[in-house]
Amino acid sequence: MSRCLGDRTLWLLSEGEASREDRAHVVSCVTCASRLQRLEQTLHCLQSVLTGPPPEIALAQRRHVRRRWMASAGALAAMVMLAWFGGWWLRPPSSLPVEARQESIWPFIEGVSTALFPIVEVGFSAAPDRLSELADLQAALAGEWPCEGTEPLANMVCDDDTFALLLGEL
Amino acid sequence: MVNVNAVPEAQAHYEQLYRQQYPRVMRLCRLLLGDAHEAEDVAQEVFVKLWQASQTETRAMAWEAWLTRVSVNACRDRRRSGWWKWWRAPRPTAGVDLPAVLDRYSWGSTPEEEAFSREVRGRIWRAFRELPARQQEVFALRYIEGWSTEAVADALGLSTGSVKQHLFRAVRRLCAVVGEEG
Repeated sequence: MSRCLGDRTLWLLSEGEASREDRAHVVSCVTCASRLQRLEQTLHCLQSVLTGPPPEIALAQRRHVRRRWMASAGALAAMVMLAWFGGWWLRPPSSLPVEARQESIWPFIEGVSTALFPIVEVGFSAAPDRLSELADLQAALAGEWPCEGTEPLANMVCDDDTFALLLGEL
Repeated sequence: MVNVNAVPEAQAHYEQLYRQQYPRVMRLCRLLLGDAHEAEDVAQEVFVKLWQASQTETRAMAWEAWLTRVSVNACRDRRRSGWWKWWRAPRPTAGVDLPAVLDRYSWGSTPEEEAFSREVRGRIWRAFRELPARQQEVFALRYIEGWSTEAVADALGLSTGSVKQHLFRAVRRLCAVVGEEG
């Protein structure tokens, strides 16, 4: 007794393309004859189903797959966003203690303040500490300005003294 | 000298082809695209091409085979451009009278048998949609259109051996689906 036919040979038989030996085998083998009959019935079934329009279930499945794909894409996008913001938000803190970090920050803040508000700072720190300076200042406030009556920019020495007095450099 | 009867003859020939072939082209496109609306669009495109070709082609043509070949190519193009259609809002699948369709193709007489057959048909359609495009085309032309292997090979530009290979793989996968249910 010869071996049963393979699937491909059986299919070729259904196509009418098998060899004479294979055809003879199918005639003599009940199993292969049954398999061939079933294959032909299945092919007929496939033809009749696929000739008609797709049933609702197939379309519903396709929509379901589409929805699932969209949900997956949305979830992936959310995960990427979460990872991005999480990485930024949950950065490891600096190893310095809080006091040390504040100390390192203060000089920077003072530098910025000095650069932005030099006059205010100068005004507070330029308090005159000598009597002559106080007298000059009082004279200036009382209208007895040392260079009064002259062109302010004509006498550069006077102007320098005045500004130096105001800036507390004398 | 212009033949005044040429245009009416061409038009009559076109209309005859349209009446005879449109249902077949529509069925083939629906099978390859799995969507009645897309299939209708493609079928319309195919018949526009047929009209243009029939105006210019003077040789005797096997228009039936020409239509099939053009339909298969148009469906392939449509599938390739399907990525942008994905973003469009899904259109309703109305237009197909599903109860009538299911009754027409129902195998069972009892509700259980009908439900079973409906399930099997759904699985067969899904399995067909999951086949590679080439296997779908080969299967459709061979088993739905009833073409010979040689004609399929000629239409798709493949060797007969390649057609048989694609066909056998498609049959094996589809039979496996039916076998699971049987």
